[in-house]
Amino acid sequence: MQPVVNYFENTPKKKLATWFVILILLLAVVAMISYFTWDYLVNNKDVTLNPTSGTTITIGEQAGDEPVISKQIASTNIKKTIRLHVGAYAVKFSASKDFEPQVVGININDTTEITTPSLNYTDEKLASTLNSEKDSIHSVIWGVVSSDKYDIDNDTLFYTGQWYGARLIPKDWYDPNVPADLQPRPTNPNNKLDMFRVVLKKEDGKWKVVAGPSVTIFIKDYPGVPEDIVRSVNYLGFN
Amino acid sequence: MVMNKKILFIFAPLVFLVVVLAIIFFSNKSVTTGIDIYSLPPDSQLLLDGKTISSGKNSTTTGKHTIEARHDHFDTLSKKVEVIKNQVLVVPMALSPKDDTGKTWYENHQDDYLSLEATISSQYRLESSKITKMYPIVADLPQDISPLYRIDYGVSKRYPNDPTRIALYISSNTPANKYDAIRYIYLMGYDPSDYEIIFEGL
Repeated sequence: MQPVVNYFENTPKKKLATWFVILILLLAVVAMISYFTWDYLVNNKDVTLNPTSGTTITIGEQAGDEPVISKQIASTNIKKTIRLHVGAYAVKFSASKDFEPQVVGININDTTEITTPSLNYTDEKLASTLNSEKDSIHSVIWGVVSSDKYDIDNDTLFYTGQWYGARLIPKDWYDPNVPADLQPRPTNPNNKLDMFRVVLKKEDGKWKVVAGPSVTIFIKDYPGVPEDIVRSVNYLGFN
Repeated sequence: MVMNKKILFIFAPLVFLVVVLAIIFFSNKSVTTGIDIYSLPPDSQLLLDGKTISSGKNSTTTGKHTIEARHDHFDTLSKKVEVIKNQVLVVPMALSPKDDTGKTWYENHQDDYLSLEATISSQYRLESSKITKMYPIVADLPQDISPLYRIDYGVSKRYPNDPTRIALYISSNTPANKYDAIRYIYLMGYDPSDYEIIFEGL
């Protein structure tokens, strides 16, 4: 006859098993605490939001791959440090209504300081600035090409209104025998003048020509002019 | 005597190692800025700014240099080149015979001439691949929209002595066609802002 083993008896084996279970549980708790501590220390980084005067920095969770804030985490107009888990975030820089807010995607992998980049004027502000600057800009252009032969077209201000670009169109560029409202307007085969592109910059309160006038502007010929402005000015009228 | 042998056993491998390392070091020291001269006949006397040099790769300073090749039976050939930083400029120097001995030399050494041609051609292929990488539009050129305009590429005026730099050449007869050629470059998916563009008549 086999002896019946009663597992409920307080045998040394049962004691050992109990202690073993307790030890496993303790180890699990310690492991969990260690993991969360490690995760907090290693996978969370100090992020300092350092907005320039008059600007606000807002950081939030990024919706997908696009730099769009889906859930705001912090917003400040003074220097502030927060702790964020490593990963992708969206950051919005904003200022007064004259400035176009800018949203960028950012990957937090380390301690990071975020400062406000140069914000550009809104289209409305650029348009009003252009209205007030147009006369002085045009007078500089007429010093380079003849106002008898050219018209200025596609006047455009960039950034915060200190850069300007335009096309200089010969007065007889378009065929005079075709109505002006016909699009696309046919060109005049008798025109002998090139269409030019020009970039001006306002420095010390005065406008001066910094690139062109030329049929196209080669980026490498004008290292002092931002590439995106050259590209935009060359593309004026083609869109 | 035993002591001398010990010293020999210790120092001989060391000296050998130093010699081997020195050979490796000097053989790997490649020319990064200079000229690579190929001359015909190969025994021509070569001069760089008046100083005798050998054919093949020679380090030079950046800037303008004059290369001269002389030979008794050939006309002296002189070339002005401009070396830019990190460029080894290939300079073929094939002399023209000035007497019968020179002419006979070419007749008997056609293989050498073909070899020079092959070298220049391989260098050209290398430069072509660099050009295509730097200027992707080249793969789509020329564009001949006769009789309106033609878009092609050629020597850069901004970097005339750098064979890896190019300029776009737009040939057209009217300002409107010039304008259309620029628009066509956009339609091809390229930005004219990235290219030195030289306009000429069609």
